[in-house]
Amino acid sequence: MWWKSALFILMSVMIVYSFTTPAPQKMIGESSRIFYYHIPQAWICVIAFAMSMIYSIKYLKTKDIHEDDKALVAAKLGFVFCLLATLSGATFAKVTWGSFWNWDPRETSIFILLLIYGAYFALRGAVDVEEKRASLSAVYSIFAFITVPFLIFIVPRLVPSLHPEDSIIDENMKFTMSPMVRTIFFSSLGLFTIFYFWLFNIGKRVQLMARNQVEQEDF
Amino acid sequence: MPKSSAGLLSRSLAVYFKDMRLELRTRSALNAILMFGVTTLAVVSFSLGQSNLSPKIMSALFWVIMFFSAMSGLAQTFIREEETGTSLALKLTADADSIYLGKLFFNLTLLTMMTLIITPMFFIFTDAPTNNLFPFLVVLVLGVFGLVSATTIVAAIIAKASTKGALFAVLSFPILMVLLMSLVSASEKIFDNQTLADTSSEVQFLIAYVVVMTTASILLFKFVWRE
Amino acid sequence: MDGNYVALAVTLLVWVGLFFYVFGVDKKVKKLEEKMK
Repeated sequence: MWWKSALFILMSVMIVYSFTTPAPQKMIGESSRIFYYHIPQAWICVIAFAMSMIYSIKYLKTKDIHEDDKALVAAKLGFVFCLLATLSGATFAKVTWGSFWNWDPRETSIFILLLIYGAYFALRGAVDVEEKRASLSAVYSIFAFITVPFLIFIVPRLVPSLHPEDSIIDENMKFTMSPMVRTIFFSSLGLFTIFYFWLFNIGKRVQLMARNQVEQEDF
Repeated sequence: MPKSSAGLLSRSLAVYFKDMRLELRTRSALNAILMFGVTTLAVVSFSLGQSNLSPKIMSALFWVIMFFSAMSGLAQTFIREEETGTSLALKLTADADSIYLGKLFFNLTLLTMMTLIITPMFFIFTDAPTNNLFPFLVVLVLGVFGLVSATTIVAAIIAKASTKGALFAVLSFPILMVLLMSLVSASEKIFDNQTLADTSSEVQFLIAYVVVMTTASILLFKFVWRE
Repeated sequence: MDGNYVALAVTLLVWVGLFFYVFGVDKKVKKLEEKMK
């Protein structure tokens, strides 16, 4: 498959560039390179969460159990990327702000996101009947996702932020990036996204196969 | 869906009064929620002794007590339906919307009763300033509405799960965290002798939260109830 | 500058390892899919 080789080469090139070009943010210095990895992880976390919710809505509409499988795969991947984003963020916080955890608005938001995922998996573990599990977890994930806009708009007003407002780390695209930094950042974002969809595709197929296996054994 | 000729409100009230009659006979949910609240309050109060609390700590303690008391009793109404097997009968006699609203009113009554007892006790035990009572009541009412609007559907979800245990708090907390943050922030300002106008952004948020959560619950409830 | 090269080597290693692991899983899944048909 040509795109897999392309992904492999381009990601490798991106990694090399991310460490050999000048640091993206002069004031923070060398550690600001983590931004090429931290933000794409957070981005995938949100995408996966949104996909999980969309598949949940689809499930409630069609009652097709495959939609529930897809929602589960997206949620699992989203949880992993969320964890990665939290870890990379905490490392960066330690280096620049002096402590791993400060309850900064974004830290609070991602923590709540992790809790929602955790609760989602806990709920799935607590229901035995498959259709019931699918409906209940679908409702929960939709209901939980509704609070995310509140997280984005309300939490920053309640807790003082440490995320610099007009530096390169800001997600509102207000930053001043040099063309080089911009190229690396957006390639990283794109490559991470492609990688995520590849993982999602594999997960979906594994889930489908497991389901067919069970059906064959039943007959 | 079977619908009687009566309007949505009277159908919901029918569900509500059925639950209230049952509750008044056994008082199981109210006792649980009340004793939990009193216990938590007592633990907090005697461990702090006579120390002078800052507004921040006072408001945090108050909402911690409220949160855990709510968690101890608000799932009862749905769990009881499942355990006694009456949910099937209810499914046949009432539609999902009126059941949801009936249960919502019921939980609202339950939490209001608890609040009416816990709040004065809190003021007595912690010596919180009482000169700013009206804004505090506004935030309190919004807080009760917020807690109930977000947790009623979660209660319906966990009633259907096979292992309930601590699931109610686990599922509710991430949804309630935004609410609790703004409630703590608002009551901190009020304990600090600020006016209601100073908390306007929190109050606006609380109203939006209640409206959004209630609407979403009504839309989603039938998918839970049908299971 | 030395630290950067160490970080670069580690990141590349992680990426190459991850890629080939996922690639292997993908292949295995494909084989199983064909077997089941």
